[in-house]
Amino acid sequence: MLRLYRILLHLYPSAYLNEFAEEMTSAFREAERDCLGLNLKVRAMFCIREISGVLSGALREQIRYPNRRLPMGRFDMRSFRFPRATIVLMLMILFGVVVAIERGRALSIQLAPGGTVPLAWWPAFTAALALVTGAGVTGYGILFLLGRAGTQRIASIQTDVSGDRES
Amino acid sequence: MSLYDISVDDIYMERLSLTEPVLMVLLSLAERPRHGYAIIKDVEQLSGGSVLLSTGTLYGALQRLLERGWIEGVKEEKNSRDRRTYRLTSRGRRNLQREFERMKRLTKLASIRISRSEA
Repeated sequence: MLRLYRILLHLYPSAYLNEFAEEMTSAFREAERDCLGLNLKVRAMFCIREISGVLSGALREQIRYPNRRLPMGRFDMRSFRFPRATIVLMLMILFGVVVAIERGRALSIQLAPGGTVPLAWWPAFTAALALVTGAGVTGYGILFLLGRAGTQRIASIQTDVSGDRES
Repeated sequence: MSLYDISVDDIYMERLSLTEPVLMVLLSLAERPRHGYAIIKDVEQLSGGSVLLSTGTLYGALQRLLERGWIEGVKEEKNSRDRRTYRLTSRGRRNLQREFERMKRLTKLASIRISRSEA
């Protein structure tokens, strides 16, 4: 149980862990020791209480400090950079798909000359692509400007009127 | 009489959501300084077993109270690596006192209203 407790503690932000992890583990160890002689139901309730307490506490602390990230181990993407080669490859694939669709459309016209000609798809596709790209660039621009302006830092400033009054 | 008949001092009272666990922690520390596990045991005893604090809940409450300066932590002489004793500061004691004044007013108001509705 202590092992599981220690693992769950890693869900807290690192600053919180530096401050309280040892104390929490010590208190948990004492509480667990006191629980050993008691019946199964009490021990089960103790385990549930501790696990839910740590999970809700970790969630609360992560919400209080949204700029701190959950430790994701090898899934952590902090150092990940999207490779430029991937963008080139994706554009090549997109080009291939566009050519294939256009060839298919030409074939359908060729095989059914008297039938209805399918509408050209590319104006709508281009418009949608432009719209999505525009929205993405605008969103990124807003976030970038907010980050430069330090808006989130201003929001996190605590105004403690009574604290000033007392000091 | 209204619950919101507030004095000038009350205007400056720090707002901290005094949930039941936080209130019990403050009550426990009002008697004397205690370390984490001692607070858990004392709160259990104080509430007659109805409030059982987990370590996660306790340390969340302690952190908020430390940030507000309502309590302070003191390292114990022996085994100081992982143990700290917490005690109520003068600010914390004053705010706790005010909170109980507010609760008293609420209780008084409630008893007036209940007796009025019974009559």
